Amino acid sequence: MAEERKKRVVIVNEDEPKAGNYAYKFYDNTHPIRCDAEEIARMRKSLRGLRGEEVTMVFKGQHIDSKNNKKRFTVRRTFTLNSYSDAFGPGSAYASAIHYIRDKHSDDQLNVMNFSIEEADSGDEDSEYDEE
Amino acid sequence: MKSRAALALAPSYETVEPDRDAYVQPLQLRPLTRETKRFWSFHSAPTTVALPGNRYAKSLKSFTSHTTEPEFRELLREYADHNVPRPSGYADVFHEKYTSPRVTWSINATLAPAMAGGWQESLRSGKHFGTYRRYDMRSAYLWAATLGLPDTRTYQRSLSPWKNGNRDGVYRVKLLRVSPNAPFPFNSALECLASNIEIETYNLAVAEVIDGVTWKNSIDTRSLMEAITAVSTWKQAGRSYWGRWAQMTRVMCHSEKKKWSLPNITLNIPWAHMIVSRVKMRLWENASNALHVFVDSVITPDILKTGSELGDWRLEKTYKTGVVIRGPGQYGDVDSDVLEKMAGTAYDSPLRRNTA
Repeated sequence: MAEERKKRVVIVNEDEPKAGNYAYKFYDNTHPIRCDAEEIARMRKSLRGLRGEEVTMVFKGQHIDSKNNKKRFTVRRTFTLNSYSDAFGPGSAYASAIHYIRDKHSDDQLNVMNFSIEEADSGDEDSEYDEE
Repeated sequence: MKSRAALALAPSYETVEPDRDAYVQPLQLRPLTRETKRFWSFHSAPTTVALPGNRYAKSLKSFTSHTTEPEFRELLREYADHNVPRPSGYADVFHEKYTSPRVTWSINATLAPAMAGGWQESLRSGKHFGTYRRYDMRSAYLWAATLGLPDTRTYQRSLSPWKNGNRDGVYRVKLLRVSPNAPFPFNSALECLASNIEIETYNLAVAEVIDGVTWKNSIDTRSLMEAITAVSTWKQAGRSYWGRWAQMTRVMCHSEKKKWSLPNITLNIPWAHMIVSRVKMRLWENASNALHVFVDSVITPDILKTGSELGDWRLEKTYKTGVVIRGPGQYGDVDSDVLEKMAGTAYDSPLRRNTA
């Protein structure tokens, strides 16, 4: 990844960045077939110029349990970006990240706030912490 | 799909006969569950029992407007023409013809526990002398759908009801205080669901927004209305069609060795809330002097504009001398010895005596 494009941060819900969006709603919106045209264009723009490179996508979000306890999470996925569907849609890095959180906390509300596209893995690991 | 042999024969009515399906009263259904051990239940009451030979027994409980065998058989014939040969309720044809959108679990998860139903309240109990009128909204819930429903494809999370200029939304909010002049639940609960329109109209004092969903535009509900009005029982379907969108209770499946639950795949709290909140708001707009409100009806000294369209008011009764209100859903003419309406109580019951 070229130095000048080291890190790109994409806000999921531009109207309300702190609220984010429902993780599976965002999954539907960015799905290569059942997509929302505006959303898919925005995501394609965020991935432009990275084809063939090894990248790490870092997804940041929040899950809320039935007692309204909020927990933030960060999930990283490293892969070679050959096509849009490597990042979004079925079997993609995003799908893998939200399935990982869903499987740990089923029946919780899952929201995603933002994600970044970085130089391939710097070695940090997935994390979860209580919201302040 | 392979057709069942029992579908070729008309079901038996209030009896269980060989080779046929059966429609029986709820009390007849319970012993059948002990015999076959394979059944479905809802709110702990059995609704359908699997009988030997790929046959099913269903409850007659939901068919309150078709209480005789000839009426019920005519209803079955009509529903069979719409590909619903063994209905469980009046809304079944609607759900066969109209596919409700699937909404992801997270959207409903935090909204659902705060979902509230219709407004039923005795605003001023006791005897009231003078002329009062009881009005009823014509097919209130059906009218609510004609105003359009949120486009589920544009759902987006939001925590700022005051910020979404062109997006309407529904929010789970904590209130600083109850609003005595607003309808239920805002007049009694501190944590409830409110749309941005309700927050504005009732001037709710929002302390915290727990969660919310917004949408960009509304969908045209003509196909939904067509699916409801396709049958002669459209009035009954018009009362119950939206129930599945709000139904949190799961259907339980029972077999001899285990039991498991079926989630409601049509759960759509924003839709259900919009339907209920529109009816409540219409009621509230005309209830400033009301003594009693009950879901879609109001007892008031005011003269309301009546009409024959969906959602118009219909004058049901004029109480010339006065009216007595004992509680929600319990009222009558002040001149009468018994209360005209008292849900769940027989007309000749001593409990109905007009002593308030």
